Amino acid sequence: MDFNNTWYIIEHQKKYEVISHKDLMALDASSYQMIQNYRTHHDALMEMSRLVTQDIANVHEKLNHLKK
Amino acid sequence: MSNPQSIKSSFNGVWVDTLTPLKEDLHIDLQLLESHLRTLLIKGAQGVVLFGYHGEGASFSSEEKAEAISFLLKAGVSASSILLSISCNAAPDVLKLVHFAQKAQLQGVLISAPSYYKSLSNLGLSKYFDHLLGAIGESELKIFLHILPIASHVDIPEAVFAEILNKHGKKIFGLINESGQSTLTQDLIKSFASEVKIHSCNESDLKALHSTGTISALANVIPRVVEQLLHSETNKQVNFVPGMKVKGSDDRLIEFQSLFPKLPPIASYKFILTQIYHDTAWLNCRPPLDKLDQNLMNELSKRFKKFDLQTNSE
Repeated sequence: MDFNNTWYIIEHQKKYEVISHKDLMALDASSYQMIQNYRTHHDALMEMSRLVTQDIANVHEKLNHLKK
Repeated sequence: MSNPQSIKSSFNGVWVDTLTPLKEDLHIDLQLLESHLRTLLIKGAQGVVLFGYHGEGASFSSEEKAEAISFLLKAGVSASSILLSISCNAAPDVLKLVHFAQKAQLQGVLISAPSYYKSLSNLGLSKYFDHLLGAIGESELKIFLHILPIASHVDIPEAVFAEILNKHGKKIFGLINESGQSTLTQDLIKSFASEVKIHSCNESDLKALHSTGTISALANVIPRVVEQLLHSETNKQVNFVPGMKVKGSDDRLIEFQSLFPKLPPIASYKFILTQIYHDTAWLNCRPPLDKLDQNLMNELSKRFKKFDLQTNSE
């Protein structure tokens, strides 16, 4: 399969990022964690949005727990 | 007679017995399946087996399987990267899926014994496969006989294999042993290796058997570790795990397998994918299968954190 025009979600410097195949290949392999591959930029962005929203909800939950 | 040279030519690499993600309504989550396949293929898997034992194949209709595969092909997943596991009871249903696979130009199909009946006679089993293979025309589709007693409750005896290979050897590309019995693989190799390629799905056997290709469920999580096991003589590569001693693929496989003692494999592997992809949608299993209970998930989560998966290299 040709992955040249595909997109990735990675964890890089403790943040989620959407990155192209070409840009991923240029990164030092030890500097990130690859999460998933997507056919389109849009699909990858949608998934990153879900991940960030989920993280925010998790932090809210922890804060609420602390307040109790 | 079969042609061993052509038969043995090209089943290589790791083929992942792919888990099937489900939506809350228990229909297949096609987008999630697509991104999982893409991720496995970019991590070095040669291809995927869809609707196998670990893909909950028995829980989906032929129409659902065909619809999912059509979606994946439209989404750009290569047909040559897909093997379809067929575990239907009725021969016409098996043939329907075989013809679909031929038309879609998939890499191949895995055909197991029917699961409904127990204590089948050798003659009955031979007739079943004779009927099926007789009805399948010549094509590029690779046909594998799939030994899957955990699902079909039927061991296919060697006498039956001998009969099938004698009559339909040209159509059979290989035998896949998913029984978990290493001794059975060795027996099959002794008896039939000159005619067809024998493949074990037991990751622990791969090095000893000098396997070149396998179907692996663990590869849903650790495709590169399994891939390294296929290259035993050239396997000089090791994984560098921060804070731990340098470990080879054998060690990591044993560590990974030890995460799941006596846990149901499908629900356990799905739970691990929730940890990797940060997506609880992977928990869904189609009944009668069910997700792990909360205590088991908490325990497995702790063990998996300790395992410290290196997603870029494992």
